[in-house]
Amino acid sequence: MLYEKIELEAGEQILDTVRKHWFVITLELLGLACLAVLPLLVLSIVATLPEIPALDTLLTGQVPLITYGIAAWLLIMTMMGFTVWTHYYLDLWIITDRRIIVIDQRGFFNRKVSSFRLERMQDIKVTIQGIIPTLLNFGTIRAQTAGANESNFQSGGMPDPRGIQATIQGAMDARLKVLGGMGTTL
Amino acid sequence: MSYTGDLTTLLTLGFYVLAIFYVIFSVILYYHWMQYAVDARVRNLSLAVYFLATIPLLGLVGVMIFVA
Repeated sequence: MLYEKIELEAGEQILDTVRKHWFVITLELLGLACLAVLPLLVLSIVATLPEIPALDTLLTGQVPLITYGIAAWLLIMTMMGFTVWTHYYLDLWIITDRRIIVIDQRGFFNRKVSSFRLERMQDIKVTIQGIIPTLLNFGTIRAQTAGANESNFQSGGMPDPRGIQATIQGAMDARLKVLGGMGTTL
Repeated sequence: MSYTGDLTTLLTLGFYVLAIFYVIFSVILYYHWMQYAVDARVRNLSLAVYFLATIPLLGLVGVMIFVA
């Protein structure tokens, strides 16, 4: 499983794992579901229309073709739905007592794993913008670190961003205390 | 060749293309879940639902071509 591949340091503890808010994936899947039922909706509307002999003959004579088309369409939509679900589930924030590991599954062969040490964290900003994010409590977390290569990272659609901010802040303070204590004993 | 024959050939070709694409996609999806999932329960459930949903649909497309 993934946790073995991440290779946590000796004594490193996972404090929390966070995925994007359920509303984010629900919205995407809802859009796909609407697209998926579109042919069925069109057929239902056509079936309720006043009797048109030519149309009736066309439709009744082409049932295998229509079934073929609808089944193929639903298959493609199902595959797209599972693509969305896979990308949602494999995106992950792992907050440990030493660092934050951000896993960003951008595509099937495009995966970015970033690791940010807590003692190098400088600033964490939380943004909750809009009616639905405010009511459902999700937003964007943006963190700034003192790293040479990448000084900022952010993720949108995070659930309870203030709670995550508090968790990170608490972990940062604890980590700095530990490192400060180690420094004084040297 | 008649119009019906051309259409049947086209639809048969479409089925084969769809089947090949489905197999490739399924292998990629399976690999990603086995490699990167953190929860075995969610992984197994997701893969089970995927195959239970898609195999009958692919089968239906095949039946419409080769049987109906």
